[in-house]
Amino acid sequence: MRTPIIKAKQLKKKFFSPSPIEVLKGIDFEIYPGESAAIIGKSGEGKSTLLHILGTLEKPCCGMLEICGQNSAHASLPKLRNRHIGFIFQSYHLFDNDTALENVLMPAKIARVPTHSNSSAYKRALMLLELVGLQERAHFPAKLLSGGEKQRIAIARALCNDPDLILADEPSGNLDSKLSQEIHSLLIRLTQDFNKALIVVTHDKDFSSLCNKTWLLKDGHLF
Amino acid sequence: MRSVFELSVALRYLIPRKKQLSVSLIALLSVTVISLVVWLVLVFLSVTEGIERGWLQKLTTLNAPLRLMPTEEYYSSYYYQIDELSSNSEYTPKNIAEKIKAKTSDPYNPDVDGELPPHFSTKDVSADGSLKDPVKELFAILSDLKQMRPDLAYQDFELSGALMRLQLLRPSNSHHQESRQAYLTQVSYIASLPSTCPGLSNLLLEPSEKDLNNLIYLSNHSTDLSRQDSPMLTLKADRAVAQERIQELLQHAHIKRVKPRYPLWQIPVAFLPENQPLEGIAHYRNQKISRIDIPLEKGKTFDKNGVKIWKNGMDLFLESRTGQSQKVSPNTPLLTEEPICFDVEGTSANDYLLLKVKTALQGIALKGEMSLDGLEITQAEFSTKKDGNAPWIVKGDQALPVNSEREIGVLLTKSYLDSGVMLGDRGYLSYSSTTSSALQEHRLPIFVMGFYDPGIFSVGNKCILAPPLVPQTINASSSSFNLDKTQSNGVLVWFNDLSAAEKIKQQLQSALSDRGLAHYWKVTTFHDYDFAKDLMQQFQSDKYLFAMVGIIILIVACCNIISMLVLLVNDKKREIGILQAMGASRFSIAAIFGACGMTMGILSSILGTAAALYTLHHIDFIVQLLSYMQGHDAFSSTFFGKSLPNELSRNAVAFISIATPILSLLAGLIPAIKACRLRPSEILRSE
Repeated sequence: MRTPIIKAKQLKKKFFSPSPIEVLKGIDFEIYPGESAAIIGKSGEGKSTLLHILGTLEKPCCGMLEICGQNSAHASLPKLRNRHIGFIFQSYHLFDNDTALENVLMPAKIARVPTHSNSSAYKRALMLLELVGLQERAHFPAKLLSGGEKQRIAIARALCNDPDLILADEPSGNLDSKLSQEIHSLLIRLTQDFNKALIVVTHDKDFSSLCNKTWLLKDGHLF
Repeated sequence: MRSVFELSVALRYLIPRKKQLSVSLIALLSVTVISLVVWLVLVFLSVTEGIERGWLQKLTTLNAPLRLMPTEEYYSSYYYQIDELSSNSEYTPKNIAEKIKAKTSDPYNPDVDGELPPHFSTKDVSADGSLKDPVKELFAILSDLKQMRPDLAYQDFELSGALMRLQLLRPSNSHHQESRQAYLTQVSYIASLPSTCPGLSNLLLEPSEKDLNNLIYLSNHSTDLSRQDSPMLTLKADRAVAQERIQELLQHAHIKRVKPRYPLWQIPVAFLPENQPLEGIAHYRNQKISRIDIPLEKGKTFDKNGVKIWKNGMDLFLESRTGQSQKVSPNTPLLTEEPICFDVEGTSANDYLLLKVKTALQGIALKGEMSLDGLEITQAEFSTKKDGNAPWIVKGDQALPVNSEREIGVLLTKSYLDSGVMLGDRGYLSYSSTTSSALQEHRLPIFVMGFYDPGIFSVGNKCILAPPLVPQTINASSSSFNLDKTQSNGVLVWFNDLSAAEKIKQQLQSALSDRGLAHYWKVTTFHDYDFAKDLMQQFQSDKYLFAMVGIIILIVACCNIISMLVLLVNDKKREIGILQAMGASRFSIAAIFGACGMTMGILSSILGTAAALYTLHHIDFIVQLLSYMQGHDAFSSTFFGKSLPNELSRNAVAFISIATPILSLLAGLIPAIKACRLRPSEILRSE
């Protein structure tokens, strides 16, 4: 029997400031390895909130979230994030003064695994950079790279610790349509090649059409 | 190695960057301020600790780190009092030195000596019935202790008092009088020279050229009148005697440079090389040349009376500005306009001592022989050989000799130098004894054999160190000084490690108790010396006070780190969010900013320490600068010595190396707590 990478049950989220508002009113879903899901919806519907809850950056008010069989309420969240989740953000969030390779290696450094040039983490980072087509930019400072290149590095970084789940928050929001398509196909290809689960928040219908599932977040529910 | 990630991020944050100029500036300011505080604390604590160490060294050299003083019980014991009633002891009480040498502990012979008075102290006997000998047994205990501690040294000491009178015979500045004399009279403590003290030589002052000049001057004078009360005249010594004295003196000193005592020096014609003209200015009287002034450098004779003068054979020739040459009398005085110095190449020791000298005048070498009369020694090398005959005390000398004129060598404190006393000055120690009908004055002839630095703790700043025989003699007969017996005779014990003083004290007390002698001896360490206690405590308090002030300034300086790191946290919010999203724990985030604070603390400590080392290396220059700015000596040499200590204090470095990083870490904790409380979802959402 296949175990889901992520399993959400009756996730709810309420904000109390400036006025009480329930953003998520009971989210239930499961994602399995190799599956990809796109969450679409209007602005302000709580897509990013849901993604942050799924990424354990934010706690739900109630409900149950299991990632790789671990209940997020009882697990060590930093460890869970570091080992099982890879994040990709709209505005890349790279360390500008670090090189592309150093950025990719950052999750490994946080995991305190060796990152010297003979280490497996280093070799994996180089391999990932090659997969995203930036092996020649490995030693370039991130601040000198273009938007598309930055997002590729962010994708490589998300895969650095070989996580089971990739969470992407509008990964092509800052890119033009051509670059967006490239990023979409790269993301889909890599998650499938590495057998990862992908949840992506996007407004892009073309991108959502590439995913196995497309969910609409409306009135705090997934449809 | 678990914190390598946090440290690497912290170091990256601390590297100044254009985009975080305000943070970089505050970081730089914080590091500068903390470095300054570190520098200040290190320099102050190092100097004060060095001064304290110097004072302690002097204190424990002269007064020893541990003393054993006989108690009242000792002086009222049978053992001490019996000497006054025994013919074997010549009916005289014995001091410790004499007790050590005494053949028997109980000199009383009932067959010869009178009956003991009633209520005379009872004998303190040991188990075998023999009289306990507190002195010999103490020295046996000390000898045993020395087996365990080879660095231990001990010696009995005695303190007395007398009136010292020194004759200060000096050359006169007046042409009418050859000498002038003054007298210095001072009531002084006389202490026996602590000759077994290992650090004594460190307190001795080196003889100077001034002293050598004085010794030579005094060699030319008779000592016959020096012990008279204010003689109106001074006598020149017999020439042969004087020469003998000077040649003996120069066995121990090598003259390197001399200069004429007066600026105008008459160049002997014999010094001039053949046919090498000197430029000069001729002075005429009655149209005859009365003298020729010779400048030290060429090209300074612009006067119309400018001449050139040279020697040819035994004759002197002169060429005027007009080109006319003439022969002048070889007796014409050729005088140097300014003081000229001579290098001494050697001496010719015949009946009369002559110095072989050379110098350069207007680039022309002058060579010849001249006597010491009218010359002043400006550079000399002093012999450091221990041959016992040197007229000054040589480091390592264990005794002060009596010279050929039966004068006893004494050491004076360096404060006498300010009173104009110099090496070789003669005089006497006056003390009195009571006879049945009168007070009789005794005079012990002395000569000054050296000076020592007593520090600030000496028994009075006028304590004279003399051979042990001197205080013993004075105490045995004197009625002028009634020093407390329990303070004037005792045993000094030296050892290298001052921190072991209490332990050694306990060992001694325990050994004395075991032998039933504890009540005869009062054992005190330097911590308990009455004359030093207050000052040492005050000094310690000052140090603690400054350390506290230093900590307070350091805390204020570290507050800069708080502001800097709060700014940094605000600046790095986004990165904190990303790191948390990638799995960095709250502890890691806090550790990054804690490490930032600590790194700044360590960096500041290193910079401050380096600056302190540099400052201490150049402390003399700084003292000179301070003195120049104040217009007087910034630090009294009486208290602080010739120069301030320049050794970096290990305690101060340890204090700074611990306090600064801890305070910086604490300063870093506030921003660290702020950083780890940031919620990544909020940060990443707002981006």
